[in-house]
Amino acid sequence: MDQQLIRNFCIIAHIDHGKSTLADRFLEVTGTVDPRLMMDQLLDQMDLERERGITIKLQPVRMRYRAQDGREYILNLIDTPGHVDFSYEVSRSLAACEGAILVVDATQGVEAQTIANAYLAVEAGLEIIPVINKIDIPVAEPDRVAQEIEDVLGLKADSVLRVSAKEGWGIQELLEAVIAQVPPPVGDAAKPLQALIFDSHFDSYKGAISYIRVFNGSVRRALEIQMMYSGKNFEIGEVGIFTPAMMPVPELGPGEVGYLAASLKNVEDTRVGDTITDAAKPALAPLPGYRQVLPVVYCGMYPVEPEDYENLRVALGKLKLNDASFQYEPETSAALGFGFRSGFLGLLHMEIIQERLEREYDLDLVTTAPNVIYRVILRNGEVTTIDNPANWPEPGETLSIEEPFVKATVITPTEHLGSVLELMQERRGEYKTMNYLSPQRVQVVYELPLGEIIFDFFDRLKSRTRGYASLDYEVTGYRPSELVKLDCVVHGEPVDALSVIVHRDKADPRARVLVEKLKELIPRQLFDVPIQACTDGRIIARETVKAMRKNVLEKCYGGDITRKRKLLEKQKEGKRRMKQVGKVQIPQAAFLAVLRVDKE
Amino acid sequence: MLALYLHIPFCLHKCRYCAFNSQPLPPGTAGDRLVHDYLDSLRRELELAAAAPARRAPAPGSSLRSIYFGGGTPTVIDPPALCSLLKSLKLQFHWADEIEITVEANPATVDQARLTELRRAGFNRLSLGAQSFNALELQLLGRVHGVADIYAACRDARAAGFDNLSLDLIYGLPGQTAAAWRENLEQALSLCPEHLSAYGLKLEPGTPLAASVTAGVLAECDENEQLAMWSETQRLTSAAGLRRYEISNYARPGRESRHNLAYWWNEPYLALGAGAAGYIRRSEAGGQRQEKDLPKTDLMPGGRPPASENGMVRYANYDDIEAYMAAVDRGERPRAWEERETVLQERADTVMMGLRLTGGLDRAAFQARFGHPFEFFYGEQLEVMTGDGLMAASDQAVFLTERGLLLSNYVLSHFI
Repeated sequence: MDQQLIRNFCIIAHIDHGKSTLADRFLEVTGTVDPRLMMDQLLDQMDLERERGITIKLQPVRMRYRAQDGREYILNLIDTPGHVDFSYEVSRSLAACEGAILVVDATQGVEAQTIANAYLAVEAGLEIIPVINKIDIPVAEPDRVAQEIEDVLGLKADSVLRVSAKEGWGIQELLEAVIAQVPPPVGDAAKPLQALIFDSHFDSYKGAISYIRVFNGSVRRALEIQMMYSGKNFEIGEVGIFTPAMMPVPELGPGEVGYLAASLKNVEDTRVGDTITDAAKPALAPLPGYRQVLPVVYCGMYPVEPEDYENLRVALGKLKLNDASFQYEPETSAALGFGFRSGFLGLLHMEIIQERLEREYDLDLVTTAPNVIYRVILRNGEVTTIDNPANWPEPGETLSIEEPFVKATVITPTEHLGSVLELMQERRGEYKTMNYLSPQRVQVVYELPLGEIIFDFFDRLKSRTRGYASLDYEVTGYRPSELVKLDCVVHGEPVDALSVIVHRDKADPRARVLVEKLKELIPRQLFDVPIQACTDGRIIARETVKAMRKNVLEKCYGGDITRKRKLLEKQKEGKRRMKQVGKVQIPQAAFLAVLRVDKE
Repeated sequence: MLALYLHIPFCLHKCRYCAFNSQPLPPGTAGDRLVHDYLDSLRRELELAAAAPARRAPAPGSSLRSIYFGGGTPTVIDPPALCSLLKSLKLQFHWADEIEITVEANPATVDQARLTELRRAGFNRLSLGAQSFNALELQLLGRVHGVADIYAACRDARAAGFDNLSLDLIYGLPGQTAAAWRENLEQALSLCPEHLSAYGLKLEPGTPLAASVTAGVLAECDENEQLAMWSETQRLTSAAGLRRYEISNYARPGRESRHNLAYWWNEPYLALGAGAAGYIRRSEAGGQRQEKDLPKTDLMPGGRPPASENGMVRYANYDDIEAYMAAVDRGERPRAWEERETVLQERADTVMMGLRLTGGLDRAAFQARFGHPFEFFYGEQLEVMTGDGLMAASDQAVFLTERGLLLSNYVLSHFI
């Protein structure tokens, strides 16, 4: 195939700026999808994505487009996830392209992830086509936003295209800009094979499918390939393109985007970022940029009903087939019984997995508060990592303990700057820089512990700025901290699943809020239930859930006993999501109460 | 059909705690016309309900044993109209000899003449909404009557020949102490009622009283005080010769409310009027045509009726008076919803209602109704509950203990 007629590009944007809708319009304008089969967010394949209006999993598509110069081009669009948890996946998608459409919402302007994504695209050496979307909305301010794009990103304001993906305005012009501005690929068919894996998914018939971009050489059926980082060899069973449905083709050459199947039993064998080469004639070096993605947030997952343990294990295995970045291993909690310690790329990733387990596999789960990975330097010089508060060392055993820090970038309207700075300060943040994007909007950069971000940070940021602030962060490294384990004892039983790691200075207030919150959440039982919080074996806060003494509905409503029945059914339903710990019924919500940092 | 309930959704003035289906009657001719139209509709619904031929020539044992005029305040309507309504019931149904006919009344709406007229027409039980004997508490509740009105109403009722008098009281008001409640009770008992209902106040969402509590203007009654009131009630009523026979109800032996017993024994009852809820045989519920338009709550996926239906239905009429009257005028049964009962549901309801009685569930009656002993279905729950001291069992019955009565919601939620 003539590489001059290929354009590989992606769309990058802050969440909700209209990326998926724009992709829908491309599919329509190029006639890729039959109009009768068209639906919103077509490339977001999971129900969950459509419901939440977010993109979790990439879905590439090949489109044919006859341009104004009379020639027919192949446009490969690689949609990208718009969330900070998946930034490595974004970076690999970018590496598969030569250009990027940067979408900015005409009513919102440049946001934290707009900048983060734009920088990623620049680093990847992509040609950036800035676009202002949603110009159909009456309150749109395209001129202001164009100026912001110039001031913040250094892209000329008058070169910014203006479109409405919803109304289909300016779509043709945008496709012409892609052809004119995005450079064609420059691969060499004669060189040894180099193909980048930018995503994968598990197909129950074909096994793990690798999504690839060929840089040099070509792939075809029956070729023996090697994964250059893992070193494993496989024989290709099928190569094909995305229409967006998978369609086999005989061969993929330089510059082309598609998939290959090689009877891989799971997605672990096709790591995103790895380079595929010809086993018989390997390339000298893999493509740059591969790294192993490791979870940064962990939590415990337990079935409410112990009998469901096996079902949970099977469900986790199935999800794992499709998601190499998510990890789990069995663990036992004294309070919750048998479950799994699970690791995620971030909080959204964690929520998605939890929701899919409950929804797609109909499991009732108790999940414990998430925590980060701590690094512990022991007295004997040994360094270990801890992903579970239950394994926290005794006070005397350690020389020091380190926790991960992030560089967090927040963009906020200036009127909320004060409360954003206050929040950063409360969360042990260390001020780095501040930068006015315009008289109305300011960018603030802080370094703070990742552990503070996973505790309710994003919701707080949103509520303090009426939803206008945006956040992006990246892990920068580990730093020593004064950390202690806060334990919780309910009715005399230590509840390991409620333990949480906190900074020593914050242990007292956190303990007080925790016991108060638990007092609210744990329903009254037939006996008094004392709740205690302690650090280093010392009780620092205490509350009591008084025994239930009177719980009676006295009046019978003119003979309508269904009202009474409904009330009792509600009471019964409430019990379903409770976990028996010792003699006490503890609701699922209580295990997340440790997330509440203050009384807001 | 053993019992019949008839709802009068009118009152003088909406009380501050009230979430029942009732509205103040407009003054003057507008009110008169509304009452007239509503009673017309009631008669029409009665005719629709009584159209099933089985009623006029009842099988032995199926005579009407209780009629209950509830509200609202039925006595906002003048006695002649109430009496004529009762006469219509006499024409449509066969009455048992010992029939109990109750009318609810607000003390401000009755005098000796009116009560005499009602008594002569056949009403033989008066349920008086006293609620409190403390002027400030009556004000807090938004009652229109005073303390003196209660005394006068009782005196007039006795003079009119009512020998079966029930008083309603509410305890656990915001700020109320156990001592204040005791005074209430003592005054009520000094009137020698045959029956007493003492309900703990439930703050219903949407009522002005609940709003005052939410806003912090009033404080909910302290739980310790409520518990003291509960035991004071037990002590004083039994000293006065009344026996607790249900969670909130006390009676001289033999004067238990026959009507309410039908609810607690989970027996069928016909209910007429706006917002009224009934429980009847499906064959008596009327034609199929209309039934399919009703919202169904118990159908299996695909509209297939579950195999375990028992031929009974529960239903409620439209709350809205206009909607109720319009439906009846169209010749339709005025159902807001209708629910076919399953055997499972019947059993759960029988337990849920029956355990409210201090005598509990009669083992023999239970086995006769459901084919197996109580333990066959609920052995495990009974064991846990007796272990926690909330239930007990004898050869004749299973019942709640004193503590079990206090925690009855907790206990009963294990049986549904």
